[in-house]
Amino acid sequence: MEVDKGKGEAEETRKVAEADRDTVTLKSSDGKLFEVSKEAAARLSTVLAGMIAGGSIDDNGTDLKQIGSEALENVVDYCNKHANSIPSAALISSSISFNTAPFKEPEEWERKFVDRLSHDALFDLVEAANFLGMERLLDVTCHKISEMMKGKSPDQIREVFNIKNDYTKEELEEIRQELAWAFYDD
Amino acid sequence: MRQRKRRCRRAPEYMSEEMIREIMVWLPVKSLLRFRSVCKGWQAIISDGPVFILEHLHCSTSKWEQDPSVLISPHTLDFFLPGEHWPSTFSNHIHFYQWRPSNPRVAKARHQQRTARGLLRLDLSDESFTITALPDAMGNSNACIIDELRGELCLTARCSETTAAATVWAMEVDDEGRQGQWERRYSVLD
Repeated sequence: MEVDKGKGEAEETRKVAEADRDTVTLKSSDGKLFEVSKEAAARLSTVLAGMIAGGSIDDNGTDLKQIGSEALENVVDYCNKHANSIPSAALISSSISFNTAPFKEPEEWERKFVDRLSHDALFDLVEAANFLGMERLLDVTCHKISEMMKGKSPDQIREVFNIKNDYTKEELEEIRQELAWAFYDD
Repeated sequence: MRQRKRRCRRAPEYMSEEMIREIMVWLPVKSLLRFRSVCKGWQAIISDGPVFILEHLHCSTSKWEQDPSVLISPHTLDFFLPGEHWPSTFSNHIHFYQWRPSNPRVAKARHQQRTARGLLRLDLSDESFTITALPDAMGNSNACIIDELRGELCLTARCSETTAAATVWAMEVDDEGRQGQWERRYSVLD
């Protein structure tokens, strides 16, 4: 049902893309197609910029086998929202020079954008942002996850990240004693 | 139980070390130290020496577009050279505290129990080191803790090694990192 809907959208998308090539069509690992502004994609993703410049964009949907449809939908949503907001000077420079440009605080819409995501969706989006070389989205999502982690205990962190505790009781106690002050609230 | 597992199906199988690092650079030092006990893999990342520390420093100095103007560290010594007015030797245990003038906050790391001779300042605009003397009345044998107090740089020092009495000093630091004079703010009696 959902796949059909995706295909339907794709037909529309292709027509639009063929009419004027302002957009590119991206295909998720599960075969859904998404349309995104070419300008925004090239500006926000170094990988897509490279593909557009190198002519390896497929009008029938460029395969992004590593990204599921939910994450890709969020990526596209982010690009489209970004295209509609006026980028600040700091934001533009941050993609040019890693060493000197400060990270600009998430704008209101970016904050809302990540706030509404579930843990799973957020983790998927981080991976997608990394895969596509979207530095700004990566910063915003990583920052959101770090916000979520602050003040949590190691136990809570293990639960969220599904990590197995591989320390012995003695080793844990040693760390805890060495860093007793770090175990209070942030 | 089963449902719970489903809910937490992500990571670490999915989350690469690279991604964990990307996230960790945003965490405050205190959280990082605490998360060393999450698992050995995380401990290895966090304790990865200069590389991770530099990444973290870069991130914490650049985030929120509030570059600190100065980094401050207790100026501690390994040894004295005889006859020196200002010591020229430095301990290689340097713990920097970040000072952000427009939103003052000093990372609450407790420094090593070495005797501070002054505060070592690294001015980030020209990367010059200078030393700020400690308050004259503080004496020179007591460890101190650096913190922020109502927008001022604040120093808490015990009056002597044998009592719990302490004095809290504060110094104004403006947006360019220029400093005023130490002023005694509070005395805490034993």
